[in-house]
Amino acid sequence: MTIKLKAEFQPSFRLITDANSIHDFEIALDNHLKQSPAMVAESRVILENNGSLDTSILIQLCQARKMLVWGVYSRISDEPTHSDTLGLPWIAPSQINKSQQGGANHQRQTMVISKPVRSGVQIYARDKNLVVMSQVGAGAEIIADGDIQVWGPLRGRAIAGASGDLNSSIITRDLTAELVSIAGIYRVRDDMPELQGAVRVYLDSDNLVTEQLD
Amino acid sequence: MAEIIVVTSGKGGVGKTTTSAALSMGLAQAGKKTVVIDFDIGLRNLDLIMNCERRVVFDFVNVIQGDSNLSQALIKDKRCENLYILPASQTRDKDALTIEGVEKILNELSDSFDYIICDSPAGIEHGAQMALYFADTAIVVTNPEVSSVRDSDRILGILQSKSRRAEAGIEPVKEKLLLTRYNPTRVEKGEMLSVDDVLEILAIPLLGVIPEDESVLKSSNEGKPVILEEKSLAGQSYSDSVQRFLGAELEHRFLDGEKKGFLKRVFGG
Repeated sequence: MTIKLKAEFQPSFRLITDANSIHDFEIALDNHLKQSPAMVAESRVILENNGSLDTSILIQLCQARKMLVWGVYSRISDEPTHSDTLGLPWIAPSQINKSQQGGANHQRQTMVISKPVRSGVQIYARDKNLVVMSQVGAGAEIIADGDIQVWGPLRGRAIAGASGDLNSSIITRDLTAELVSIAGIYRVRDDMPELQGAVRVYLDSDNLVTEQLD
Repeated sequence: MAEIIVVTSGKGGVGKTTTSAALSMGLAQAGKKTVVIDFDIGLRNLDLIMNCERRVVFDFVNVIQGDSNLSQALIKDKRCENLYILPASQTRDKDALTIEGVEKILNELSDSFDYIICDSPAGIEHGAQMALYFADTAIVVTNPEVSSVRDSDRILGILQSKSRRAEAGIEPVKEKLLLTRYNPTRVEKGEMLSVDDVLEILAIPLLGVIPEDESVLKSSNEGKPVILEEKSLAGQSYSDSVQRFLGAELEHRFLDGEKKGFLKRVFGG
């Protein structure tokens, strides 16, 4: 028998609420789920309850929506009262942010597509970076939670940082895309500058920058 | 085992049926036993171009539904003994095609033919997907204009995701581009995409370029595959394409504007 101890960094969300009514909380949560069901469903969640509601009720509501609450926190109450009654660890924001940022970017794997991505085809590299060794045709759509690289002409749509990673970028040898987007901030062809050759698209605060590389 | 070839495009009116007729006649003349199937159920045209519309008794759908056997429905071409036509039904719609039904017929034909040509309907719906599902090779017919090129790109995507070869994860469908209705003069004027423009977008091997030619319409109306018009530019280009398909390495012809006539050369017209 052996025991191994390995470091693990699993992504999780912090659900922060100041709701004072169960009804409001449920509506707000369901709206979020509707907008990005794939992302939130079955995800691990730290519940930060800054409202007056009982944390155990909120946990039940989350679990009913297939969200697994594994930690709690509150800015307005003390640690022992909370975690003692619920049996869950008390996790303050600073601790979590550090481990998340350290883990997420470096651990991301890369999906490689070696054939042309044709019009009408949609590719989603969930939790991954995406590298296309060939072209992306007009009317095709490539999406990644991480970075995107296209080694042929990019004529379709490219959406990087689809789950909100502000540090993701798009690099292509020839940018004639219909649309590029980083973490939800997008630009359509009409609003892009005419650039020849390789281009990097990234976010500078809330500004989408298209930078010529050569 | 026959090689199954689908002639497809996405867009309508680009020359799929013209190409199916010319290609099947060309392969048959080269001594290959060939059958051409009209998958355009409800809008059958191939029988007109092959001049066998008066000899249709049973059709593709009849065979699928077991109303007749295959040999009753196959029509032998009068001009070339290696060529057979399986016409479409005009009274049904494309839902009459099923994967199992089509597979059964293709398997049966596969034993006795070298090539099975599937003339696809336009679009990307059920009929077109049935035509391409079992293909080993796809001939993508494209006109030199942007909407046709984009539709071809779309159909290439479907070939690589929804064909039997894609679903089984075996060697993918071979793709070949046939550029039709090419007008070099208009290309020079910048009114039409050039061969290079289209190749850059689609990135598949070029089988042939068929110039815009009046003889195509004329021979269609006469019920004659244009490849039999040996003097016409389109006929010659189709012949070249057939030979290339069979492995010959031929230079692409008729890519430049009209040659200046003798008088024009002398007088510098």
